[in-house]
Order: sequence, then C-alpha cells, then structure tokens
Amino acid sequence: MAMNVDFQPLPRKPANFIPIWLCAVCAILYAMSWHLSLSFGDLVSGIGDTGDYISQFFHPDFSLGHKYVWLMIETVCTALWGTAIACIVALVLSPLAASTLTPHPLIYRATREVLNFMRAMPDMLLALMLVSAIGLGPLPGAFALGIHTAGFLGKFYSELLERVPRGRYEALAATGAGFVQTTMIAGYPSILREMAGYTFYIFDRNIRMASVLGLVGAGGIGLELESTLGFFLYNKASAIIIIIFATLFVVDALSSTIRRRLT
Amino acid sequence: MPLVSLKNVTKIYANGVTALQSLTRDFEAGSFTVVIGPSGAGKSTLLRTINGLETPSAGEVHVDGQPVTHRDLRSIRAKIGMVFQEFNLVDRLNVMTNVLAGRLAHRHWSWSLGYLFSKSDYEMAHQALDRVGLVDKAWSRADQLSGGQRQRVGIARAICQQPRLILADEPVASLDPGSAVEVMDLLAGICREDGIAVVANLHQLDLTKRYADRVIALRAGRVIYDGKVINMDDATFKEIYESNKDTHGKRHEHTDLVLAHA
Amino acid sequence: MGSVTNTLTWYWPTRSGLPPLVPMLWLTAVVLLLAVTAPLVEIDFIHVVASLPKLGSFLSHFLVVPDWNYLPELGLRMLETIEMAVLGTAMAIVFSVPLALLAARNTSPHVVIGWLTTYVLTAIRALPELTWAVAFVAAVGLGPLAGIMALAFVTIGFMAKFFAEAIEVVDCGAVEGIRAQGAGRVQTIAFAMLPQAMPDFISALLYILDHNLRAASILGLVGAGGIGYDLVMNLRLYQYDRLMMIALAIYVVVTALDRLSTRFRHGVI
Repeated sequence: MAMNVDFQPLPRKPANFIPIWLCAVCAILYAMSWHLSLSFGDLVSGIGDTGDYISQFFHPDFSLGHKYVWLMIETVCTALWGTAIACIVALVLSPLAASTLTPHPLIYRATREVLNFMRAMPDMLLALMLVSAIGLGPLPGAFALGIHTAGFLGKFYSELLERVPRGRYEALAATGAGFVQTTMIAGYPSILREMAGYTFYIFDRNIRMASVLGLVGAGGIGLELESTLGFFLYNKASAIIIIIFATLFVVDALSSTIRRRLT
Repeated sequence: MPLVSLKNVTKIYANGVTALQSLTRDFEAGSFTVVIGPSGAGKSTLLRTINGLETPSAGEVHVDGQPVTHRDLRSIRAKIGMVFQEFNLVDRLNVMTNVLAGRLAHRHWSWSLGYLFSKSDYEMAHQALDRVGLVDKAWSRADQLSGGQRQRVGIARAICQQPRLILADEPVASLDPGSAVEVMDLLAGICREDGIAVVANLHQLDLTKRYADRVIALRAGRVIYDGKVINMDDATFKEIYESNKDTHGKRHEHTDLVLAHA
Repeated sequence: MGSVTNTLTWYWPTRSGLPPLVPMLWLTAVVLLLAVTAPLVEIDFIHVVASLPKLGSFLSHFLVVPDWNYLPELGLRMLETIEMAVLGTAMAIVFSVPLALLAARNTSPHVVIGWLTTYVLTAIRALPELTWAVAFVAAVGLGPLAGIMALAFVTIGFMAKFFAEAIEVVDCGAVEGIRAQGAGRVQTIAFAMLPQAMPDFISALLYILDHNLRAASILGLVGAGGIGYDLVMNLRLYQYDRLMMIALAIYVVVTALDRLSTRFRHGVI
C-alpha cells in the first residue's frame, strides 16, 4: 500500500498465546474423554435415555405426603444445626485466620490449614465416616455439615476481617485493647452485614446437601428418596422431589429477602 | 440540505425532567459547533438525540436526510462518530481492537463472534491511530493509557468510522488542561482537513472561543444564543452565565453573605 | 461515695445501658429455634457425649500403616475423579454462556425469556449433584458418564447464574461507547460485555471447578464413577489402611487445586 508508507509503522504485535492455550485445553479435554472411554454418541444417547427416564416422574403420588413433609422438616433442622455449628466454629477460628488480626503468624498459618482441611473434606465423606463411627441418624449429618461448612464460613469471615481498614484495628490496639477486645469491638461489628449474607448462603447450601445426606444414613429425606428410586417407585420419588423443590424455593425466597434487607 | 436537522424536538425523561423544549436547529456539514450552557441545560441530551442514544418524546431528527428511527439506527450511527467524557473504551481490550470497534457498523455480526476484521479495517484503524499519534500503543491494553491518551483512542475510534459527523460529549471535562488542548486541536484538525462536522459540548469559554465556528447556548432545554463566535462578546457570555446565576440566585446570595461575614 | 464507684456495675454501650433490643430479639429467636429443633436432630447432651468415645475409637482405627499396594489404583481413581470434574465443568461452559446471555437483564432478548431462564436455572440448582447422579445412573447406567452428566447439569445452573450476574454488572460506559459506533446486539455483546465480564467469568469458573472436584469425589457413592466407590467399599470392608489414603488423597488434590487457582487468579486478573 503506497498510501501507508507515510504512516508510522505499527509496532510488532505481541505474541497472542490464547489460541495455543485453547488448543492445549481442547487436547487435554479430548485425552480425558478418551481415557474415560466416553464418546459424543454416548452423551447424545445418554441425554435421550435421561429424557425417557424423567418422563416416568410425571405422576407424583402424595399418599405418604405427611411422612415426606416430616422428613423434610428434619432435613431443614439438620441443615440449621449444621449451620449453627459451622457459625460458632467459624466465629472462634476466623479472627485467628485473619492476617491483620491474628495474634501470631504461626497461629495464622495453623488456623488457615485447619480451615483448609475442613473445606477439603467433602461433607458426604464426613457423614459417611461419622455414621460408621457414631451410628445412623441426623446427628452425624449435622456434624458433617458443620465441620465442612465451618471451613467455608471461617474462610469467608476471615477474608471479611482482613478487608476491614487496618487503621480501625490499630486505633483499638493503640488504646491497649487485646486480641479478643479488638475482634469484638472493631472486627465483628464492621462486617456484620456481610457475615449474615454468607451465613444465609451456607444455610441455603446446607439444606440442599442435607436432603441427600440420607443416602449414607445421616438422616433426613435423602434415605427415603434413595429407597424409592432404588425400588423404581418413581411416583413416590417425584412427590419427594417436588417437596424438596418447594422447600428450597421457599428458603431461597426467604433468604434473598432477608439478605436484601440487610444490605 | 443540512447534515443534521432537528424539528421541534422535545425530550422529557421518565422522572419528569424536561431536557429539551421544542428545539429546532440545523447543523451544516463540515462545521465546528460548540454547545455551551450550565449543567443540566440539555447539552448531552441534544447530542444523544442526534445518534439515537435517546429517543425524543416529540419531534423529528434527520441525519443526512434520513429520519432517525429505531429501524435505521445502525446505518445512521455508522455516519456519526461519538466521543465521550469518560472515554467509554473497553478497558480490557487492546487499543487496536477499541479503534476497530469503529468499523462494527459495516461488518456482519457473524464476523464479530470471532473478533474478525478485514485488512482494510486494519488499515483504517492504523491510519486513525497515526492521526492521533498513538501507533506505538496499538497493542497496549486500553486501561494502561493515561486519560489524554484514552480520549485520543476514543477519537481514533470515531475517525475509523469515517463518519460525516463527530459528536463530542464534554470531551475534555475529565482531562488536564494540556491534554484538553491536544484533544481539541485534534478535533478541530479533523473538522478542517477532513470536512467532518463536529458538535461538541464544552464548559470552557477559552476553548470555545478558540475552536468554535458557531456557538449554541442552551438553558433549561431552550436555545438562548445561536451565532458566530466572533459576534459573541464578553457581554453575551456574561449574559449566559448571569442567567445561570439567576436560577441559583438564592444560593449565590447566601454564599456571598457567608463570605462577607468571614 | 467510694463504695458506689468501687461497685462493679456493668452497662452496655446503649442509651439505657441495657442490651440493644433488636439484636437481642434476633439472638433469642435463633437460640429458641435451635433449642426447639434439637430433639429432631437428636442433639442432646447424653447422646453427644456418648458418641465422643465412639468417634475416638473410630479415629484410632486410622492409626495404621497405609496399604502401599493400593497406591497405583488410588492414583488411577483420583485421576478419573479429576477428569470427571474437568469434563463436567467444560461441558457446562458450552451451555452456560448462551443461557447466561438469555438470563442477564441487559442482554436478554425479552423480559419474559429472562425470567423463564432464571427460573429454570434455579430449579436446576435446587438439587445437589448426588441426587441427579442417582437419576443419571438409572438412565445411562453405572460409570463416569452418569457422573459427568450430573456434574455438568448442576453446574449449568450455577455457572449460568454467575455468568449472568457478571454480565449484569458490566460497565455501562463501554457498552454505550460500542453501541454509539452503530454496533448491533451481537457485536455489543462480543466487544463490550464479554471482554469486561471475563475476569468474573474466570473467577466463577475456578470456584465451580473447585466445587466440582469435591462433588466428583463423592459421586461414586451411587455408582457414578470416581473415588467415591472405593471409599464406600473400603468403609464397608473396614479397610482403614486404604480409607486413610483415600481421605488424604482427596485432601491433597483439593488443596492443590485451591492453591493453583489462587495463583492463576492473581496471574490472569
């Protein structure tokens, strides 16, 4: 282009690695599906089979409705207790795991690691172990949820505490306040709203999980769901699923209203 | 035929604020018009009505003889470049892509799914960047540039459209005085050399005097002055801002009183 | 006088010196609720105390020498678990981006479509992966395919919601800047919305991948592939030497991904 000679030439275009990354990711995905011996055909026919399967659920049978509702209440209570346990544990651990507040760097590292461990253990696995340790029932379920989500809440709370301007802690420390005093006066009051938001989110999540904990014998509606599905009682199973859906919608609406009023 | 003509354009916002009141004005091709007036006088609304970012509540807008309607928005906007106070660049894309965005109106949407442009688009973008003196920044991300540089990218994006008209909505309000003059020089140069009409909103009287062929003063959605800038003496200016003072007279008096006491 | 000042009297920092009313009411309500629901969850003092020794003896089983012969199989199973999580997440991306564009208020072609999509996504999210895995196992048979489908399905519900939220908070200025150039709907999405929402997309993606890895490790409970199957079998057979290794492996892999994604987040965004 003769016209272009007048222009200052463009600088060298920096190498764009995005296509290479995309290709690499695609290759990895392909290798993975090859390793699991999956094929696109399997997937498509699988979706078709699932459609057939789901169509069996269209005639819910509510003859045992009161039983299911009772089980659902138990499920919600399990989630509630799990959240309460998590909240208490997190309230104790999170100031220790907040870098701006912690009394000692070693305590900080150790608490972080403990929270990490609690988060890394899936609650289903914890429930499985607790059930074989202390027996069937909702108690191991509540504890499993509590331990697992304490890891999450502890992380969330400590991140919130770290985001509080450092000056507020320093002002308190300058008056001679100790660790607990600083936490109670400058820490928690500053983050109360956000804490409530996260706690509701965890409660929401715990109800979902509690409704399947029954699969490993940890109480709630999950066991009933599992057994109806196992005996191919699709009408009963669909009644249970509808009850779970309804509960979750109510809780979802409730928690989002409360969260909106808080913020 | 004028490039832009507004006939009895009225704009009332949903919150009841009347921004323009039955405004009738023409804008000639190749002219540099500056719109002045106090904040809230309807300057931005006037500009945004021309390229259809706001739909007038009543009246008609014609660009190049074509009515501005929802259906023809794309072809009309293709003829009009726009420069914003806050630059409105896509921060996470590089400068070149931001400038190429000026070609979007001429490209089918399916190209854009793959972020594809033709060679001629790249040449136009290159030319536009050369014009604003930012060729060496072509591959930098837009958020790494200074305010003045970003506004020049905004202008390059407008030039890259090869428009008939550039609307500049307070183009220098977020810039330091040095960058402001640079940006205004660029806009004036484009107007003189390429015959692209410019309609700009300004608050600075000195810049208005220096660059405008024609000045339109707005107050409360009405034109209170329209004429050549050379015909405009300090008294007229004063009048525009006196009338501004009238509307807020009480507050000013109060301020004066406080100052007197101090 | 002296006796008055020396008496320890406690006041709360409120006008009346009493605890603030509204927070106290909330606290009482929560405590009451917990007390009322305690029997339902079988939480009573005796039960909890009695279960502690049982827990202790259960945990003491884990103080055994690991079964090193199991290591290769464990590695293979963990690899399968990771692959399920990654493939499930990848499949979900394909569906989530269009659904997010339909659901987000500023890109949705119509309000009604936006509402409908949002409701469908809520319904998908309502049940956890494990329930869907039961259904998918019944539909397509045992194995990782059912697990991947369950993961992908639930992930769509979450990912599309997160993506839609990311699109909704995109800076309006840049969108207007592109629209004023005469860009159409698709072009505005491609040039203004998606680039600006990308950091939030990546953030959500990493969070979901993290979540899916945990979820994939338990899907084996219902026969949907991964390490979960070994977990249940070894628990039933009281093979604590292997169980310990499985728990450790899950911990290590989840933590490794957590660290990696933190690193990646800082690098990219």
